[in-house]
Amino acid sequence: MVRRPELVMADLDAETATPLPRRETLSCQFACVNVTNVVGVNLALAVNAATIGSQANALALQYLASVQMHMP
Amino acid sequence: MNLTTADHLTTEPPPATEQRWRQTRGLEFLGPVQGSGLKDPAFLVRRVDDQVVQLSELLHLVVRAVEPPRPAEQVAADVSEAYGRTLSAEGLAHLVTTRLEPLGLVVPDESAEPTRSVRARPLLALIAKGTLVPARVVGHLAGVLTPFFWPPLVAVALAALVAADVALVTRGDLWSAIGEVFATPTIALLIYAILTAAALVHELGHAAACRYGGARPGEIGFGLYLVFPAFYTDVTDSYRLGRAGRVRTDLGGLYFNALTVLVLAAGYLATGSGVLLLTAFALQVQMLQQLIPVVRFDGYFVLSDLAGVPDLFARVGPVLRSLRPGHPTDPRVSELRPRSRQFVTGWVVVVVPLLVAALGWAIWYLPEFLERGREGVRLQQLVFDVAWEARDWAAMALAVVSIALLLLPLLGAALALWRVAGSLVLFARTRFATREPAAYGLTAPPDPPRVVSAADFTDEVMYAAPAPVPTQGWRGTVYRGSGHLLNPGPSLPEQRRRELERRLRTPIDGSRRVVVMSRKGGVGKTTITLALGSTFALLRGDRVIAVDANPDAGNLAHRVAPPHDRTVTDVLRDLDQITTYAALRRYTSQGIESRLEVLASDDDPGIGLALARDDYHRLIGLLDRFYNLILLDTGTGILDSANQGLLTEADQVVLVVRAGLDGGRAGALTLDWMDQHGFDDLVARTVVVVNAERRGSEPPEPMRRHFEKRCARVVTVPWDDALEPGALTDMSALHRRTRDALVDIAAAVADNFVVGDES
Repeated sequence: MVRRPELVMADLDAETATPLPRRETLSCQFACVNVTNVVGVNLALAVNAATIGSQANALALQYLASVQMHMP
Repeated sequence: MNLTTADHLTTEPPPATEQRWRQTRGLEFLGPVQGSGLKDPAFLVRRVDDQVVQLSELLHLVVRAVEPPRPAEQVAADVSEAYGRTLSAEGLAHLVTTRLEPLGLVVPDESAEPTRSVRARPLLALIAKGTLVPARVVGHLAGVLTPFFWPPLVAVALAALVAADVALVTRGDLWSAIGEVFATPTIALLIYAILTAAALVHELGHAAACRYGGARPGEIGFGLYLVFPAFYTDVTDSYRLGRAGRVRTDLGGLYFNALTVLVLAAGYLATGSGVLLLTAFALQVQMLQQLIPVVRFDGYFVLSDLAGVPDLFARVGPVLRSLRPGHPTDPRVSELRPRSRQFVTGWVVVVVPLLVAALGWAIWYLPEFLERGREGVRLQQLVFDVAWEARDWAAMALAVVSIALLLLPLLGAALALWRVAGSLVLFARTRFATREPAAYGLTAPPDPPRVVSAADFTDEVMYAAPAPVPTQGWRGTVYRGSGHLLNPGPSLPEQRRRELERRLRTPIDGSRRVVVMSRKGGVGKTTITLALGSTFALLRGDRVIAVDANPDAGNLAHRVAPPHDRTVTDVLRDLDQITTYAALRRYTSQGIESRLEVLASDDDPGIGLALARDDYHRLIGLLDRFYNLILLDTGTGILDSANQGLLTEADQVVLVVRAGLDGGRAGALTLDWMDQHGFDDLVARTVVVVNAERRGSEPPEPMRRHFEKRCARVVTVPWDDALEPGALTDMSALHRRTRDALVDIAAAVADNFVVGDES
């Protein structure tokens, strides 16, 4: 019978068991929209707040202006 | 109640050999990881709570073998049989208690199901999740949509996307469409609605691709990613797919986005609606953004699958630690295949500075953006009020959506900060909890005896254990610079190195004979003998000798000290007169730095070849009396009678091979020959040294695994100019990683000193 080499404690301590993260494929719709002028990282709250705000603000002002124009 | 001894025994855990374990309920074995970036095979298991765990081959075998519950010795024997190396019952207990029980995969047979098992805590993951479409419905929808992934259809769709874009750019009037939105702001609401629907279609694309590959998609839901709301699809089951299936799953969402663009483009060409044109463009911009691999968008998962590494973020710390100059490579990095390792390192080097810069930028400008957000909300309130007066429902809805989009990131930021703070507290706690034993020795000090007796007057009982001090790096500098007042403790690499050195100093009862051999010449056998002998001689206090047993003009002695005119032949001739160490010392040379002693062979091959196995037997008998460790540098080949004699005398063998295929084959044949000629116990204790023949070369993975299964240890010695054959070798001239590899070999050899003594 062929003798098998012994597993020593250093071998056993090198054995790994890793819980894997869930794979959740995201759609970046709310993170991506309106940040087209920002290249790269979508991390910042600031980016979204500023850009969504700026476009929304522009649209809001446009709306207010158009309402005022049509007011009797 | 009569508390007998037997009652007490039932409350104590049984000995390791009698312990029984079982699998936890509902484990599902998903098979090997395909397209893995790891050097060694890995396997996947899913717990009943859907947590997937990646296991090394040995741990996977253990989880499989514990069912049905049997005594540990039987389980260990089955695992040993399947794995090809011997696992003791104690080793099995160690694996179960330190790895498998905390992960909730295996429990003692008599225990209840675990309730709080370790879960993955990924960095920058989705939080505050809710389900939109249950898994059962998603599975059904995905099944209906799988025909879209028929390859010819995919090719046609992609070609159609290119054609549609050409048509939109050449025939579409983008400026007029933008003007339309500004003239009628509520159109933006419609675009938001279409893009939101497209996001759900995107998620269905992931689910359908997952299903097409043969995996089972989970629910579609929503949550907060970083600070943004986002839809998601649970495709955790795609871990079981091959690389192509996983990448298809990653790109399935974008593919369905492309199909949506086709529908929008067709609608625009048919109706000329500016809304459809703008939405088609906006959606494609989103698609490009989805490919950014910095955070967990689709591009990240594609990169992760191409590298074969499931969680790139989990490798950030190990890669950064490994990049520090003078530090050894972290095991979480060295376990990767070279190509994956380069891939992951490149990703970390790009992504970490980007994320840090973005975070810093966000924090710096936070007050300004909060102020802008507040103004935005106020403005939208005004819009709402005006719209209310005019009973303009679309404008009111747009104002509400805008306010929500302004507030949600703030809510997300608050949650993200809460999580960061929680993680920091947890980190500090674990750091604090693990720091003490690390800083003050490997084992806890014994409890002081209640009544001190004479036998208790020992250092351990009378004095506190001294704190280990650092000798290397900034820690050593701080310690020395502060006049030994500040002791940050040794770094992890230094602790690891000390542990190796402790192992290689394993005491030897009597003497040990280590034969260094190779089937072929020119593989660096003499160099390894010398380097190994020098390492032992430097780090052990006892006597170490290397004998040049190469009959064909060996040059071991020339590599240690200037030539000596006395050789093995002289020792054999004067054997009867050599009765003291001092007498024998006249025949050996000694390395100046290492204090390794060397006994030279004859330069005349005629004399060397005339030495027979009996001569070596007598020689070793003499050396046994004066040395603790005897290294024998043999000639090449295994058929030579003298070499076979040396094998008979050997307690263990170091087999030196080259990293290439030829070297591996020669090494494997040598082990075969030893197995067939009664040296199988030596094969099991053999340490295989793979000597790299050029910079960066490593043995092919199957070759390494072959030797790992047959032998005690496989160590690769990196290429080092200072180990060039032929010259006087100075150990201090070796590169640090070469010295580390030599200490590793020496520790592996020394591990057998204990085994040998026990047998």
